[in-house]
Amino acid sequence: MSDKALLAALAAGDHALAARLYMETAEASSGDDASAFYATHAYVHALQAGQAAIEERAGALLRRLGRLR
Amino acid sequence: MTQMLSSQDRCAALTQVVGDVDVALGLPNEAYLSADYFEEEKRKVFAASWAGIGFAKDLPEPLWVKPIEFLGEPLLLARDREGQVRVFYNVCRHRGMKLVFEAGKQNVIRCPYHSWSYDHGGTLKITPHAGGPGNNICSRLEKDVTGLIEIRSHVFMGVIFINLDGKAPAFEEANAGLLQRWHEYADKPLTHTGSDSGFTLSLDTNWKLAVENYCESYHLPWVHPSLNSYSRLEDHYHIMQAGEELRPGVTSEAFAGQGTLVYSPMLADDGRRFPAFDGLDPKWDKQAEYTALFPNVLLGVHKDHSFAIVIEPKGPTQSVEHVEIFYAQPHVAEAEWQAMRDKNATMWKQVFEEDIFVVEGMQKGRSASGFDGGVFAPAMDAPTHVFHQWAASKMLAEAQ
Repeated sequence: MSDKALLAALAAGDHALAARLYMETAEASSGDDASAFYATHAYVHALQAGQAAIEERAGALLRRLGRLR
Repeated sequence: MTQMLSSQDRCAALTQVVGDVDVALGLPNEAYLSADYFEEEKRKVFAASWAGIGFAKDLPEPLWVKPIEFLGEPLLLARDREGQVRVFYNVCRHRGMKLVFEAGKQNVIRCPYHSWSYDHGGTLKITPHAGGPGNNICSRLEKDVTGLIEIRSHVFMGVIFINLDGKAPAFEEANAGLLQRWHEYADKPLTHTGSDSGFTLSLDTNWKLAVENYCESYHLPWVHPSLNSYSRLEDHYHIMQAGEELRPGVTSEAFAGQGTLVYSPMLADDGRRFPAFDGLDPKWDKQAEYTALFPNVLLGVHKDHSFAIVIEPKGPTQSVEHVEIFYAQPHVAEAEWQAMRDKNATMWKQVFEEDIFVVEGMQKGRSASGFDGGVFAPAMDAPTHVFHQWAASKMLAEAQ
């Protein structure tokens, strides 16, 4: 994930793009803590964007890591 | 000079109000001027009743939200995924941050502070990092916090009502009398045609004076001379109903107003009329009724349209009237009806604007320290007295 791309997405209020960028980073991260951190942000932005597919992916990842009910 | 009464004197003054109309006095000056009285009304009158706070048409589809303030309380109107209107305190359960600042459609209700996120039914979806970075599980929250604080709400004739203290009878019971009287209108779908069918009026007056004025037809020939051409004073009748015990411990609210037997204004030169609601009794061909649903909603029904006025009290001496007109049939929203809709809205706006002078004039009169609340002309003012009785009784009621 490029910080520049993410900051631009957040500045533009583009939650769909932010969700996608965070999700990609979550799935590319090697440690559980890092994955969960980024997946949490992906989940929140997916909720805001109405991106059910990313919400589901992020939720599944968080639940597998024991970070979401 | 604002007149503050001792609690004993206030009790005596209010007791005079609830007496028979032949001997009663009106509410004391304090009820229209005092900040303390207004604060007490918030609790005893508004929170304890079903108060109007807005219109369902402002949530045009699922996932819409609208933040409002009512009597200083930050509230959030929301339409959930199933289409039901819900009302919540507009505040996050975490640190009390105001949640929503602008009306519109949004997929989730997210707190801008720590991103706690709720769905439109108020359920918490996620508390990000609440259990530590990357951990969204916090046992304390799961035990104590499940979602937004919801306020009892009900939609009737396009108006969103709330019962803030949660103790009033169900809306259908509290307003059983009016629901019975207007059963033909109660469940009819309403068409709102947009900004051409709504307006607001700011009034330098206490909210009660707007209600009182609405309850009676006595003033019509003097204040609304244009009505004399099609709805004369002698064509009007009183609407008055006291609260009734529905079952032990459950009493319906009183309501009052007035009706006319000859409502039939001409809005088009070619004689065209708005289409009527389906299934009405023929009596409504010429009849129209106007009732105040206490404390703060004024309703009017005609065979072809209804209107609702939500009075927003802004303080002891300031109020705002939010007026919306609703039509009986969806196709009235089409362009061919625009001119008639405009004329109808203009006509009602003129009528309600004509009332401003008198409700503000009565407010000014309440500063006369020698004024005793005023007497009622029993033949003409009885509906207004019903409201006075109701308002005084609420203030006299002991806190539960």
